[in-house]
Amino acid sequence: MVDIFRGYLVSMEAYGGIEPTPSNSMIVVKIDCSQDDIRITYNTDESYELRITQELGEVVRVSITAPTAFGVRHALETLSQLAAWDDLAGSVVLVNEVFVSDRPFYRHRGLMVDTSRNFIQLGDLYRTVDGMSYNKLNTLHLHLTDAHSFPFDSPSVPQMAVYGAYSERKKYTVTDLKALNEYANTRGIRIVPELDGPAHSAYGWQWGPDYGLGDLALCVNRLNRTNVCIGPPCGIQNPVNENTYGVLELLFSDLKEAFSPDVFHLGADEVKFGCWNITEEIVDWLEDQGRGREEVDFYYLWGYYQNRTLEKVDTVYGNIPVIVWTSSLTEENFVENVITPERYIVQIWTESSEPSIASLYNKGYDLIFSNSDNWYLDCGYGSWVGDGNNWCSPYKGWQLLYDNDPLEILANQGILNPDPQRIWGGEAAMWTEQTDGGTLDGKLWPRGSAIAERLWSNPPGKWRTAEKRLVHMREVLCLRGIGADPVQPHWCHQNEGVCYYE
Amino acid sequence: MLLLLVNRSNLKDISVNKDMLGQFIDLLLFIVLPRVIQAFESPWAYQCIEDKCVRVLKSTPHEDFISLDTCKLICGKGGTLWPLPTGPYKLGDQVVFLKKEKIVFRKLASPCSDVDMLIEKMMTVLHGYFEKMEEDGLKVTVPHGADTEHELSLDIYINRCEKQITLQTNESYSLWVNTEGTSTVASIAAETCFGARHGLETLSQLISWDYAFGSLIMQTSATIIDAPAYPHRGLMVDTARNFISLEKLLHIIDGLAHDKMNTLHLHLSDANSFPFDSKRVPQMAKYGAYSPRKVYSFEDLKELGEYANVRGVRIIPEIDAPAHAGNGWQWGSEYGLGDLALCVNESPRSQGACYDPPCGILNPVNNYTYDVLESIYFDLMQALNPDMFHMGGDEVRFNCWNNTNEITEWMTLNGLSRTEEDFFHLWKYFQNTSLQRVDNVFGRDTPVILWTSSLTDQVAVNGHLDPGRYIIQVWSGSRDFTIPRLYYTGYRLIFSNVDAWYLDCGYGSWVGDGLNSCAPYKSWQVMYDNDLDYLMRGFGIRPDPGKILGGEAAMWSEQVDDATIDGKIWPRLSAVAERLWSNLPERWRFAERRFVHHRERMLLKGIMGDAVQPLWCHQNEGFCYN
Repeated sequence: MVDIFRGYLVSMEAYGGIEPTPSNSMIVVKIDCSQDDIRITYNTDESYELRITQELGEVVRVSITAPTAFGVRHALETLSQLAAWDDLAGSVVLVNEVFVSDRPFYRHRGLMVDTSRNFIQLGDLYRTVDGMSYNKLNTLHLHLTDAHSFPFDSPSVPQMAVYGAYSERKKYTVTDLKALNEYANTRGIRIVPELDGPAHSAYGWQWGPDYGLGDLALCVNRLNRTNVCIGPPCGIQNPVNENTYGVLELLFSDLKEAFSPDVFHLGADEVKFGCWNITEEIVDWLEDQGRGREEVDFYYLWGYYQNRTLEKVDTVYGNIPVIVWTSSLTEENFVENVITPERYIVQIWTESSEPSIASLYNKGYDLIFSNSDNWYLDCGYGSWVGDGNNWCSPYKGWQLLYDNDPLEILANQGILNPDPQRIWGGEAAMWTEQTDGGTLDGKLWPRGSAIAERLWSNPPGKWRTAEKRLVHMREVLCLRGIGADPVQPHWCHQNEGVCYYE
Repeated sequence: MLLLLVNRSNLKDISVNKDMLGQFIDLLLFIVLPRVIQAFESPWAYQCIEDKCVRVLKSTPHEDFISLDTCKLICGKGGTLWPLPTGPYKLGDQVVFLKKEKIVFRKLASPCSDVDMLIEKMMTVLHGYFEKMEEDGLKVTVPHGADTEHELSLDIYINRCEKQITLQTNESYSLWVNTEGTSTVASIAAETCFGARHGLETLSQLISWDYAFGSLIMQTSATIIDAPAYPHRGLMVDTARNFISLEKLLHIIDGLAHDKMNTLHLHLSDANSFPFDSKRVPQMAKYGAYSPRKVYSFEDLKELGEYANVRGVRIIPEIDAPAHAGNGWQWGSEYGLGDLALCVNESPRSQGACYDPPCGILNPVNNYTYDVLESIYFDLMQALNPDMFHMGGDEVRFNCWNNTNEITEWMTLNGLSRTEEDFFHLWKYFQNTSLQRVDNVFGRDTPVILWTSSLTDQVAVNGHLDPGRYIIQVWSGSRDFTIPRLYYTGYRLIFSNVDAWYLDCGYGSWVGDGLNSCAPYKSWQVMYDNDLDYLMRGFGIRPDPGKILGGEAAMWSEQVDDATIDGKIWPRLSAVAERLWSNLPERWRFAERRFVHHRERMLLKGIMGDAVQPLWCHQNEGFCYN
């Protein structure tokens, strides 16, 4: 962590591009860290105190106190923001009298990156982790798989990537992911893997019949999509084939090897019953259970899938919390009978005005916010399935991301004093139908910085109070190698407060 | 607050009171190493069925399986050509393996040594593509076809000794590819070397890396007769709102060349900054550049112009005036020349002197203003020798002039009052006087371009700007009646209509809440479908082909710089390129398959275009767009 901090100073000097003005200043940094946690989790105390005092002329003392190494890391990050290259002085300069006492407002501050619609190369993920650490985000949620491709090269079930990866080079090995996880941990970031199921599953799941395991997924690539699935491409797991759960358990344990996550994401969004309803194997099974083919019967089937899957999670990980997306299930008044609030956290991707947010809270679910009207990073581009612009258009400007306040959303729905322990925080979601390595940075940043301040500081002010710092933060990100999008002409950075009208 | 100078080397004394921090530092030693990717035997192959590449399991009982890369080259109308040829063309349905060392230049018939030298440089660019293909391919695949003895020899025939591309350049070419045994001959015939360059670009699209077989592959036969529909096919890049580095501009020219675009219009200066470091007026960049490193030297522009010419691209510089001028112009009083620009850095809120911050407008009644302009023009002429010059001329608001004593006094002296008409008179005075300075530098035969504005709208009715001399670049919306007015007045038109060909729209506002002013985002589909014939027919006009010169996509840079410019320009610019080169009657759905492939091909050449679909759609043609 200290070396990373030194790296920041190196990049500041490199930016200067000249031999720095000689200086006799001496910076002495003292770090006090009282706990021995070496993995960041959702329970990690990330608080810190930072003090800078100048004594005896040119000696400056920096004192960092934090319960955990991860708090220390945040303090070093803050310290780096108190230093900069100064063109006029021809040197890196540091503010000399500082006291900061700091802790995050929310425990879960993240970005979600979809690695299935388009593959995201490891190098791009590493850079994303870097960018997150500069902003004190602590959670990288990987939407590892979807119907389009299966980039996780599972050693126990190699068929998944053989059938499902876009190409040989568009996959992650356990070794890759393990290294990514270590890298992230050093930067104060935990990785939450998601294997989306039962829907959003197609490529990678087709090998069952060839290997005598029956159909693991159904309706894969089916063309007529109306009511069958969300696509393209079509595809949903086969919940009545015992082998489906066997495969899931193997995948879970390979992912444990890679990440040892403290929460696991099961996806569970956008299930359409049409495919199950036209599949003989499913219909027969329902009949054997004394069920019909009404919606309630299919919810029963979905519940069966969730329970069987959760058993496998428990077998592999123990009773860790699991996350699911909002879905037609979470909107049903019987949802708590299907997925228990004691175990499930709900990640909200529905819009902030959706009344089911309040009802999920009232039913006892812990919540993570990614409401699509403000925290979706993929919106506003041309459609990838027809005319016009994509479904969640328009684009969400950094201002919207900044102003999206989960407590305000709850308050608007009548929940005025929610239990802070149950509002975990939020994630900006980078779905990748229309993004891959070349343009990832510009879509994540600097908007990721806006959500980071909302989740860390949760300031009472709106975006105008943050503008000057946000615009500067974008420059800092670029200096550190993140290809962040500019939000204004550089002139506005040089002439503060003149660009945004009241 | 005191600031303290710190040197990294002085940051020595870090005391850490827990050993376990040492463990973290060990983790830092992890380095991402390049790795050899383990090839797996993919269960998938392709078949060309009804002009589509269809993914099938190899275990299905068929024999005619091919790889995706081969399928893309030979399946469907036009294979992977982008833009599609306008003349008759025919592609074969076979490929051969090829080694890049076996691509030999056999014959060049050209009328002069200047052209010989240009062709040699163009050939180097072409070889560069194959090197990149192979370099990338060998990262993944074990080379199977590397021992091929197949040879590709290239013959080029050129008629004219033309060595700089202009609006008049004949860009047509013909390309024949024939294979007999282990020998393929590609012949390119063109009037000019610029046509031949397009032929080479097309040839490069008949060759690709086959990732399944680990070799370059090439179409065995092709006949292509081709010429562009419009002579002016371009991209405008604003280098003033945010600075775009020289390196990035060179890279953008690479992309233009792949798209057979022939024009890079540089909106060099604006009120925000003045990045051109003029030799004759160094004060401009000193006062106006964002920083000493955000400038273009005279030599930079010269290099840019030469680099562009080799790639069939001409550069049109724009010095926007009289509005959109501010930073860079503040030094007049200090140097005894009086005010060269007025209301510089004023907020639009104070007196409505401009539309967006910062304000600034040239002082049209100070003769030194014209002297400075002429000096800048002279430097640009020497650096770029452009065949057309852009004078900007957009978004003039009269409030600033109206609130400036020097201006109003001059108007009184010249028998003008202060009505809107009188200010138009002043604007025309500026336009005519600065045009004389353009004439002094570039000569009277050099066409001059102006953006549509309230002035061009007015002169379309009242005259005063010579239609023989001025070309109007339309940024107004496609249904604006200024278009037929300008057309009937006799102006030649270049289209950059804001409702289809603006690349900067749809992001968050940079001056307040909501989205930026031309939102929503213009998708590639909208760009592709911006058919100028169709647009003119909307006004009941069947345009005289000589009067519609073509178009440009406009990359205004309030919200873009080096970091994200590739993804905002591409792949959408490729859509504009096919519209302007091929001008097919079809709409975007017809182009989708090739478009998506072209985007992938551009990535390989380093042009980091945005993804428009999941890669799944590239591997499963025809499934995504319904």
